[in-house]
Amino acid sequence: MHNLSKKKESSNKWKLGQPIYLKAENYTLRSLEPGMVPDSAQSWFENEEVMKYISITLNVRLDVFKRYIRTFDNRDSWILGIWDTENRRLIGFYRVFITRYNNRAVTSVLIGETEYWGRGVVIETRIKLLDFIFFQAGIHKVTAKVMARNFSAVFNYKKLGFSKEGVRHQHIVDDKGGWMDVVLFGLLQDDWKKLRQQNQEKEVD
Amino acid sequence: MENSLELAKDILARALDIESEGIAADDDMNSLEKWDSLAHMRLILSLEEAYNIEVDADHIVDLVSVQAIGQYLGEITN
Repeated sequence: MHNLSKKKESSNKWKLGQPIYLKAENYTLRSLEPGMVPDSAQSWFENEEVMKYISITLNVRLDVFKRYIRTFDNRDSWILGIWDTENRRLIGFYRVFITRYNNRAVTSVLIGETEYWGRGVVIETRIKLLDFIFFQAGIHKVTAKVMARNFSAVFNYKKLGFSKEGVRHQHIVDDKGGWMDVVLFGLLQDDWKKLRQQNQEKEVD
Repeated sequence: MENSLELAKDILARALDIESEGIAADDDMNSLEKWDSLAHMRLILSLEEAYNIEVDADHIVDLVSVQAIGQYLGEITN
């Protein structure tokens, strides 16, 4: 079991390539390493409901996933595990890919432990992640691609202030051979600053 | 539009598992605490079931206020 409590949250001093550690109210995000992934995570990749809208192949083997984790460098590609801070259980992960030239990041999330669905994990943790991406890493824009019928994911992006930048119609074939639309979302650093400021003012009121 | 707004409140109330009297015409995803990601999923699925439609991508994104749901209901029922 990894000690999540003694680690210090990544601060202004964070440098490219260093592991990332972020603490939300109930959950902890930390640069994922192969040894941190329990065997039980295999069930995530075998669960059709979990994998339905994810761009990772269904039934991927855990050893393949662990090799995949090693390809992330904490510079232009990050993979951050999401732990329930209280019971120290790994419940999912974020991926962040950065395009340096355009100072832009694309993010995605997978919550593998389905009992955590509907508990606000993504909203709570993505706020911390966006703060880090914009204010520590200095990224100008964050984007995401979401399958339109992934209603919960669409809701979460809207809730956090992402704007719909377009829809790619009939862009992906689903497991039954039908077409799926993809929604493109974007969020600028300036807009996130304003939203965070508005929320802080509301909290003061 | 008035009827559509009342319909919107009823459908939203069922998705959020609250009384429709507790929903105002200017409420949205931010003002109603129980409007979370699962409630949003229930909302879209109940619209599809009730009207035998598939909600298109633009509306899946945009149906995040009572007004927007009311307007959408007006469009699909007229």
